[in-house]
Amino acid sequence: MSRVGATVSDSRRRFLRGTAAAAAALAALEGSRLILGPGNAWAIEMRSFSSEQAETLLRLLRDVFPHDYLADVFYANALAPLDDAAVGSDKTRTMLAAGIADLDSRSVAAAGRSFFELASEATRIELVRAIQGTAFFTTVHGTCQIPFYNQADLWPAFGFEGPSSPFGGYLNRGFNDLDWI
Amino acid sequence: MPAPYALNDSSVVVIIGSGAGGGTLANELAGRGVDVVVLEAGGRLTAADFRNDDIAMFGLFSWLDERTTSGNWSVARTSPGLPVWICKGVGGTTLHWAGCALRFQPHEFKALTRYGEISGTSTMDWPLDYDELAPWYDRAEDKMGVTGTHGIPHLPVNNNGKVMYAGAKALGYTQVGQTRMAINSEPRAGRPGCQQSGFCTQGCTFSAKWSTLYTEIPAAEKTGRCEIRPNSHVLKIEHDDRGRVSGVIYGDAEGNEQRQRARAVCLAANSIESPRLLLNSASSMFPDGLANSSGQVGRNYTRHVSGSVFAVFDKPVRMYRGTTQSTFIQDEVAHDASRGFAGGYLMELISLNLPALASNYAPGGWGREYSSLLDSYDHLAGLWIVGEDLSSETNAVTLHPERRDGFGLPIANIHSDDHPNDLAMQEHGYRQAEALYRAIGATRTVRVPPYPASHNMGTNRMSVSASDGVVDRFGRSHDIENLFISDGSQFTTSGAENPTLTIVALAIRQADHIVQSMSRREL
Repeated sequence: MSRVGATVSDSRRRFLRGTAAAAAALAALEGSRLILGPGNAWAIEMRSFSSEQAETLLRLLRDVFPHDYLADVFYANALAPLDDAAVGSDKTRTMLAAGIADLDSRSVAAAGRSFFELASEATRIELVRAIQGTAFFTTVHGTCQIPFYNQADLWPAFGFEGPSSPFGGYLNRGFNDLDWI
Repeated sequence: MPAPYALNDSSVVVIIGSGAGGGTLANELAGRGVDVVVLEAGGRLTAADFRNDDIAMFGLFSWLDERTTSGNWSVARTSPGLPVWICKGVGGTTLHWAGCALRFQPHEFKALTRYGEISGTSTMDWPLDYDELAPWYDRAEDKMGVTGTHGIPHLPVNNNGKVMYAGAKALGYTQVGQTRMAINSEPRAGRPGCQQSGFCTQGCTFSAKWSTLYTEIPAAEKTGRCEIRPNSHVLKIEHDDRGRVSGVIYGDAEGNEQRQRARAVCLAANSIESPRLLLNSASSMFPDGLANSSGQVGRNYTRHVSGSVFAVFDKPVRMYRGTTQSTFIQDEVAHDASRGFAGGYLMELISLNLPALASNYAPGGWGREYSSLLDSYDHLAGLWIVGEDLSSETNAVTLHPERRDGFGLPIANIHSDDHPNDLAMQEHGYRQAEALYRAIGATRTVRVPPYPASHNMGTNRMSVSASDGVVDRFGRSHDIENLFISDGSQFTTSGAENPTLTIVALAIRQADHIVQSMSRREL
């Protein structure tokens, strides 16, 4: 996975989809911080986290709200408000950076590699359980939970149909179509 | 004199709040020729502002001003910054209520007599009984278009309801049926019938659900005798040197303080803000706050015994389709001390949309045990336990000693401890709900703790004696003859039923009392 370090001052977060667009973004945002999708299919710019930090957070979020059938992009999107919170507060930014470093150091101590590189889910879950009472964990959990599950694009995977009033409600669209009782 | 009214017009009745209590009272008074000014803390939306969007609507019309919590109730841990979920805006909490319009049972007006003295509670009998309130319930049901009354058909059974019926039958329950709902089952009063959209608590986009926003409020304005002033947050109720209320100070949309004179003041700001306002209105004549010679203002806070159970089935349910709470079970709502607790509870359908379920069903939850329930989202059925919460003097809304709001006034702290009776009832409800779903093949059931309370009652309770309550049988302050409480804070006890119908019935009755008092020149 390509990684780009350094800083960016642009206040507007950019999301780009498509290999060409993501590649162009790399060029356009030289020096910025990106999370890249598989094959550079998409890229999301982070303002507070290095690519390594963002990848760690994404791995953590996948363990906190695990749905194996959902692509990384949904988790990356849910990091945006965390990024915003860190931009808005040096204290939050410092706390999150320290939390990521702490998670990694625990991971290295327990398994000899960084959290992101830990292949064993069971090991990662043990590490997360050990930090679940920290401000770092509760901030990540509390900040990302609603933005994650409130993405309309992921609702079909759960069988939730979203807004119904624009389609006239369910009066003629199956509000009582359960037929197995 | 027709609306609008001048700030120095001391002939108007000022109503604080525009929800089920205040909005109804405004229409009833204005319709009988009383000049009314309604001061509403929030803004004025229309049904066109409503979207099928839990998160956006939560942000649009919830009361989000800071509050603090104390006590051992679970909400103080799961939602310390938002212990109650009520609304701010014209229409008040009728914007998001789900529409259950149930009468209290006769015995619930006689809680002390029926349940006896229970240690650690302050339960009393109401100063009025069911028979006295019955005709006012009838008028409230007609006004609100309650299904199952006045020849109005019940709402149809939805998918979640089919599961409840089957489970109730399998468990041996006999009192399962369609809930009386203030949601049109067919067009009525210029509003359409329910379209089964499933977003009852996000503001009804079809206006099929009764809300004072588009029923009582415009009807009151149409009389020419009612002025609605949104963005008018009342900070203090003032009194004259005879100890009668004389007006209110409020912050307007620009944050400037205004004084509206008043002939009488009716407080309908919900069970958190109403006592807070009385306490914040302390003066040299009333050092403990207005209407508080009993020391009961803010005390006896009740919020209903609460809990939900969601069940996973091997086939799809799609609980989110259709009216959220249209089926209920009454088998457990009677008082039956053999179950080990006083009072009873209802089991009402409940459904949460995916984002709301994810953020509410397991506060702080994470990992596969948490997420796997959501994987079964379209295979879930759900119900909500709602039962009588016994009053206690120490469960109370008080003023925070240090924290202040944007106007510099102390914010409310909400203290509640679960009584053993509450916990016994909740446990019974959880077990029965789990058994109900297991009886028809649920593969997993999950207990969900109480949500931030939407049913808030009792903090200015009605009593016969001025020594143990705040208002009399008409909601009139024992201490101040032209000050009324017009919301659920006047409830002597909580009953098991959703409070709105009783709030509306009491408001219609109170309006009659106020008009009669005025005609006798007693007010």
